[in-house]
Amino acid sequence: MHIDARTLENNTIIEGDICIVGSGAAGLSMALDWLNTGHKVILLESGGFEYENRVQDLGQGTSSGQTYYPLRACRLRYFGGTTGHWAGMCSPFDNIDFVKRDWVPHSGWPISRQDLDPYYERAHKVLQLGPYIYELSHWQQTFPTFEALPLDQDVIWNKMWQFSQARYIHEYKDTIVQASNIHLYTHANVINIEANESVSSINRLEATNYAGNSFSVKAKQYVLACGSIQNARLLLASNQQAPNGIGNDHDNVGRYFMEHLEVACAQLWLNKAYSTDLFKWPAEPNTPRAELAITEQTQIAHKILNGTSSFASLAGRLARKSRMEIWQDQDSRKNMENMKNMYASGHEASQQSEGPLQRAYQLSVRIEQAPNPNSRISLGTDKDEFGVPLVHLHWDLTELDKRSIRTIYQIIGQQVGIAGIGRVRLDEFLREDAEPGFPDSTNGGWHHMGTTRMSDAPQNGVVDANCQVHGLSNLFVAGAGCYSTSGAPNPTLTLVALSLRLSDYLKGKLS
Amino acid sequence: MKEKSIYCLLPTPLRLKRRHFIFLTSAGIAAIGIPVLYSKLGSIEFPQLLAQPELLESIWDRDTISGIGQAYLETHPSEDRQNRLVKLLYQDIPQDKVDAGQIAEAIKRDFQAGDLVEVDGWILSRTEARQCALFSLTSS
Repeated sequence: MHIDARTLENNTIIEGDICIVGSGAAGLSMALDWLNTGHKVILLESGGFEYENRVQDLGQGTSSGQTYYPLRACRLRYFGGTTGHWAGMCSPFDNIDFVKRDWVPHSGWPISRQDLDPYYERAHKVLQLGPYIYELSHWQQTFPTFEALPLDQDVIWNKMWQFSQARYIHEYKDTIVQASNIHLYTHANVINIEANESVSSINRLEATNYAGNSFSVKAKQYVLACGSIQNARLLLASNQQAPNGIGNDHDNVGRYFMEHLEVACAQLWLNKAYSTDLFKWPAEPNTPRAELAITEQTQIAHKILNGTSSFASLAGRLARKSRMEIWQDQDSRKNMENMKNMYASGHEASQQSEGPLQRAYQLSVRIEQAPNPNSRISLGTDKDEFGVPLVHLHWDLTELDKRSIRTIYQIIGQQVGIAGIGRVRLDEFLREDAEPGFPDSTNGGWHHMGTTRMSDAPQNGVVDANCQVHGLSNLFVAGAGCYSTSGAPNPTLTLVALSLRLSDYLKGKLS
Repeated sequence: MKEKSIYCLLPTPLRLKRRHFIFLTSAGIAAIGIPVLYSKLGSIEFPQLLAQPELLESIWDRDTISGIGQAYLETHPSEDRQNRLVKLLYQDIPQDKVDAGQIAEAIKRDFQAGDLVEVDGWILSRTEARQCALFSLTSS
């Protein structure tokens, strides 16, 4: 059922079995998993069912370090969250993403890929993807034109992607609104998490409703699912009982902010045309594609991060600015429009190319960011209309990030040379004589990860292997903030899988 | 007009001139069929193929090949002599069997062994970088 929180009386108390804060990919995937369970689920959403400037203002913030997008324009604050405009790219993390790598400081999850496999399969259903199969050989049976490049498979493999068309607001609004045990409150803003005296469990959530009325939510279990930045903000801002914020005894909340670096890095010039649809951006729904990925043994040998490389027409890419340059308006709708126009002009340029340029491709990396405690979310000095401090992001990249990207393209360049199919040219910022660091045009994927990272011990993170906040018996975090490392793939598939795993765990606790 | 609008966006050494590309491709094909000895007073005689990086000719024009060769020589000044380059190339390509296949094999061996150089961002085999250098010296 749906309740507009703006209609609530002052000091209303809402009670339920489980309270989920946020109705984006994480929170809504969890709520759907509780349909008809007999448990009363309170689902809080700060927005309504469409874009509102007043609501988006709550997500404002400042940033320093590596140039970043306006925080206000990074997330959609309404039912369905950022699935409202996502690209739908899905692929699971690799085994190596979960293990401790001695060359990647702070790497290693308390869980493995095998722990997530059953939940990846379930996440596929929620995200309306095809079968949970990512082997190229499987997809080549359906798509015979998926011809791989003749590269050494011991060094470079083809990582497959599937594409979700699921916009949660369209797919799941009616289901949630009609559910008798799911109580969706829109325009409900949590402004404080109140713990017991010893700060070992949560007593209630304090919320407000835009009309100036406060209300409380009391539940047996609480799940923060409002995005990596907002989750960290809420924990840090809830500092009346714990001076550093809830769950922040070891100063880990907000730290290890990670993005995916999605950066144009090199050019591939083929010596003759190569016919394949394997790497093409799919024109049709349910058509997968691949990116070149570096094998685990090669990553180990070179001590690099995990990343993949995509292809795009070089002529088209040269006619475009980077997304970081385009996406600088405070309104994500304007940014989206600008980006569509930019891609359209790039497509036109690629259609007009002639000669060897027709066989030239821009190679762009998609790579995990090394976990880095100095890359972090903290509270700023300004406050939102409810008095909650706005966030400050310091995005900090490291030498390992850059060396990994350079090495990936050296490896691809070498393998392309061995295969005799063309040559690779590194972009200027990656060359051996380039300045350290990254250019301002460096793209992130709008993927916010790691601010409430998972760890075995409280000293090293914020949540445990079950996504429970260390030291708090009934407080959990759902979403990419729990990632210990960020893997190369876009985060949504994995965060939905992780949320469904948490959902199972909470069902066990409540039964 | 539209060709220029795209090419002018390319970094300087890469600006392709359509006429040069066609010319070079034709010349390259001819050279493979009819080996020509290049000689100059005081220089070692060598087949012209040695100064023709075949794969690179399919993506670059003469100016670019020459520019890459010059850039290589700037970072490898000890090789900045025609005779020296020819001798170095003959270390990896049998002097009595200089043909496109032998050169391609030498380039592949470089890539397999990681004997690579980075010139203006291009990841090249040492052999083909030397071919570019030899081209730049003999065409100037």
